[in-house]
Amino acid sequence: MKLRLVVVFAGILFLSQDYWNWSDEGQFSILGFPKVVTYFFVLQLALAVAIGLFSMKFWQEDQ
Amino acid sequence: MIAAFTVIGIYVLGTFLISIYGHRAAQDTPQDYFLAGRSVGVTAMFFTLIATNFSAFFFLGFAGAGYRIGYSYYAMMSFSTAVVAFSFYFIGHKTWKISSENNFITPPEMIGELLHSKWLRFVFLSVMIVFTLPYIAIQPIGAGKILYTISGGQIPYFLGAVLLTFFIVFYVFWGGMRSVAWTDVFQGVVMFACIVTAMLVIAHQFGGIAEANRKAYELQPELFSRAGKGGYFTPKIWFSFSLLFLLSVPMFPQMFMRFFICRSPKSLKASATLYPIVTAILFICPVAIGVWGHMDFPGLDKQGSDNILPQMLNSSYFPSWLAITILLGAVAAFMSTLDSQLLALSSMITRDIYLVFIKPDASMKEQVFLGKILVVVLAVFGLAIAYNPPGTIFAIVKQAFTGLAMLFPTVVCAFYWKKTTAAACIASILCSEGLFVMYLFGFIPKSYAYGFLPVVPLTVIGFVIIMMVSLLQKRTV
Repeated sequence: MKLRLVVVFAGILFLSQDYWNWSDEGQFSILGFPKVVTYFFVLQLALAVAIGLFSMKFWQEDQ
Repeated sequence: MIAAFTVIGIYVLGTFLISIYGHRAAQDTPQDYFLAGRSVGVTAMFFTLIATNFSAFFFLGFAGAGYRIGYSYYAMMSFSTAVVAFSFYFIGHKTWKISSENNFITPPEMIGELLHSKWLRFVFLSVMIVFTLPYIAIQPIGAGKILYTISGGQIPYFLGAVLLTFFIVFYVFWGGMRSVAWTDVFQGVVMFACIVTAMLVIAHQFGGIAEANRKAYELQPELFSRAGKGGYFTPKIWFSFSLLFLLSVPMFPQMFMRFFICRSPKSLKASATLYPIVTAILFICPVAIGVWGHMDFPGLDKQGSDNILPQMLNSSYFPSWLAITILLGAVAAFMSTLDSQLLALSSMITRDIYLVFIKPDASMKEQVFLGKILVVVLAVFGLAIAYNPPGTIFAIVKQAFTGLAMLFPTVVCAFYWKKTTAAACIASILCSEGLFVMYLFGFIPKSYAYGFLPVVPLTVIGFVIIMMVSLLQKRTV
């Protein structure tokens, strides 16, 4: 589980780096939205997965 | 006109029928009236968190910002709001646990009792009231304008504000938090369905999403940049907004009180996981509509662009009944926020002023009765201001996020640092709010924020003050 969490957060960091280095604003991707939308869409899905994994493993009911 | 009244009638009837559920299950205790007996399950919890947080600004303001700034606004707002999900764990879960073990009903009550200080409770309450009360006036203004647009000018602005506000008062008065939470489910569904439909219909008219974006890009390529039009969203501003929402959203009393009402932490867990997904999907819609607005309505100023969503709906793309239905989503967003604000403020005034300073031995029935009366009084107060709103109201609302974020260090330290003292928290709140006011009035140069929004240095100062004063007090003792 911990490994999966590390992979998810590493993925988020990698995508963040890509975001600030990227300069092709005119390109469109998923569903015809620009990259600025696609990037953050994916980032938030990753965030949801990370929170889901976190709550399953570490968020105990009786904390 | 017939279509408008039919759609509005169906919506009002739906809300009314749901509120009956709240009334039937209600009991005459503060726990039940203000917190739905701490019995809110996963579905209602998720929708009430979303519907309470997303006000009518989500519809109208986001589209306007999309028009002026571009898709970067989606990225900034959706991600910064998604990050708020973390607070469901480190603020929400702790709040649920402490409040249910000790029967606390309001945030000032919980913080004051944790640190054994009625003055901390009063200071905490004062900040919450100062930054929430103006919203009670702002919301009816928005509602009146939307109803005016929906009815094609047949329902005057102020009459619309009065009608909608008193409908809210009716179901809050009747069913308390149960009615609020369950109508939030209905209003949340209406809100989401409306904004997604609006985006898809408009995209279809332009030949699909990709084609709409391609045409808009040809007109305004800057709207597709990472930093937004004018380059406002620098990395420091990004960081500031993410921090601002994370710190301030859980400090809004109507949001804070959501952590008191859930049946078990499962509701918070599910909401925390789903929250980023909802912001990822929904926030695209109004921003995209705003960006595409340049094709039909080029060259709008700030005021004109804030009205871009109704303008797009009133254009030839939509049959009138559909345009009205979609605008009803904005009404639902307004209602789901105002009902929660009214209930949160009435519960705080009842528990943290009346019960502490006026009548400590008030019976449970008396507290509920006073809470109901206060809902009516606060609504009338809001409408009175909405009739001719002074400029200061808008100025306070504009700064509410930063003002409320100054409570965050107190909450975190009260929860997680055993050496925290009440005096340190009072000093932290008063100093950081004072510095914020000085910053706003220009007594502190903007350059002192080092390119960040003021919330960043002020939060650091707030934490440092709590730690220094607490440690000094412990050493003196």
